[in-house]
Amino acid sequence: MATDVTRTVVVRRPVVEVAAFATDPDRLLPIMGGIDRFERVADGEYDVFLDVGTIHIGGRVMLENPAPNTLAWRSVRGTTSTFRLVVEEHPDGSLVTARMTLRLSGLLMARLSEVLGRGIMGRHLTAGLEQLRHHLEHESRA
Amino acid sequence: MGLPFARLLAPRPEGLEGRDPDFIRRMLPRLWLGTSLYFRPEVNGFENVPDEPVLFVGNHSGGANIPDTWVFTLAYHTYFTVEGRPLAGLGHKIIAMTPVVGDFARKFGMVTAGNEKADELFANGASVMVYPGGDVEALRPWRDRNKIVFDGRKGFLRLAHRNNVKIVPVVATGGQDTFFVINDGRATARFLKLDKLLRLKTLPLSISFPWGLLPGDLPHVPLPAKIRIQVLPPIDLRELFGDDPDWDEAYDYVTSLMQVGLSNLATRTVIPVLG
Repeated sequence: MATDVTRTVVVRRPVVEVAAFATDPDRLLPIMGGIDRFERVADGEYDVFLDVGTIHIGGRVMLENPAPNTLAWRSVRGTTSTFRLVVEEHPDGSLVTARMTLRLSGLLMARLSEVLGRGIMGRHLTAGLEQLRHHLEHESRA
Repeated sequence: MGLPFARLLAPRPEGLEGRDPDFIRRMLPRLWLGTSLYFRPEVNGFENVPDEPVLFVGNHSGGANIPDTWVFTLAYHTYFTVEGRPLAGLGHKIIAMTPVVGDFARKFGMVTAGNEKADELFANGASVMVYPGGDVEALRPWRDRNKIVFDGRKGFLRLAHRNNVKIVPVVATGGQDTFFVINDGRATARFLKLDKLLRLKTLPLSISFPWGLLPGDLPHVPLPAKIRIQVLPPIDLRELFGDDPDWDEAYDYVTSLMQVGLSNLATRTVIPVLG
């Protein structure tokens, strides 16, 4: 079983500037809303957890830049997930697209959990992208 | 027989003189108990409020009921106490004139919206609460429940700047889960020329109990959705934008900051309505 969520945001800054920030995990992760804790454990390897009110969801992920203007991770421990963030040209600046996939084991309960997880992931992605947009449009220029 | 009519037609105070601290003190425990059981509210961040008159700027939801506004008002009075700095909520004259609801709101500090009235409130040391999005925001579609929708209204910025008070943003989730707005009906309002004839930009379609499907909204029985409110750190417009601000830039900044706060607060939701 797997479910995925995609969210986008337009950042009114040049692609070069947005991509340099958004595809660098050491700059991106500290400002992402909803990521309660993260820690760099090795080169390209991070512990990343989402704070979902009562529980923390996540685990260890391998982060890489598989293509220009792209950041991706795959899980190596904990909740099985993948993540891909791509920065592209947009008439107003840059379009940032984030996609997250969650895979759970099981049948009925896994399906139900994935439905709930889809909403949770969507809200976390939105919060992270909004934080990124606000940081680049307002805070980093202050 | 004539008494009720006489009471209905009697002039009503439009300023803070209508606020009744004894009434608030009497009602607060029972209202907070009922609200706690029904909406399970979580209100955080009051420690961000400086000890001076401020302009609270919030997003509100829930159609005609605006339960998050009531929750904030109750929470404010429990945190700062009834004897603390008075809180005046700026509201539409229609609400102030509504029997029962208007009387109740006035006793809790609702003041008929107006520039001079608001200036007077700050001069007298009160804090003021505004919801710039008004009905457009309170009746936004459910899919936009976690979006700041101020519809380009910038009067609150001029109000804070003119009175040299800080803006304290307040974001809330859950209010729009107490009923469901299917569509804001902007295209329909334009098609029927309501925007030109009646200055109505939207014609939302909502589902609520007991009305069912309804154009617009009427006071309804709200679903018992969990309401979360976060008070954010204050914004000093003069410090950030100077004595002659670019209002578009200031509006962009404040709404952007509030959107981040609202989106972050929404991540606390596990299941909409339930919490």
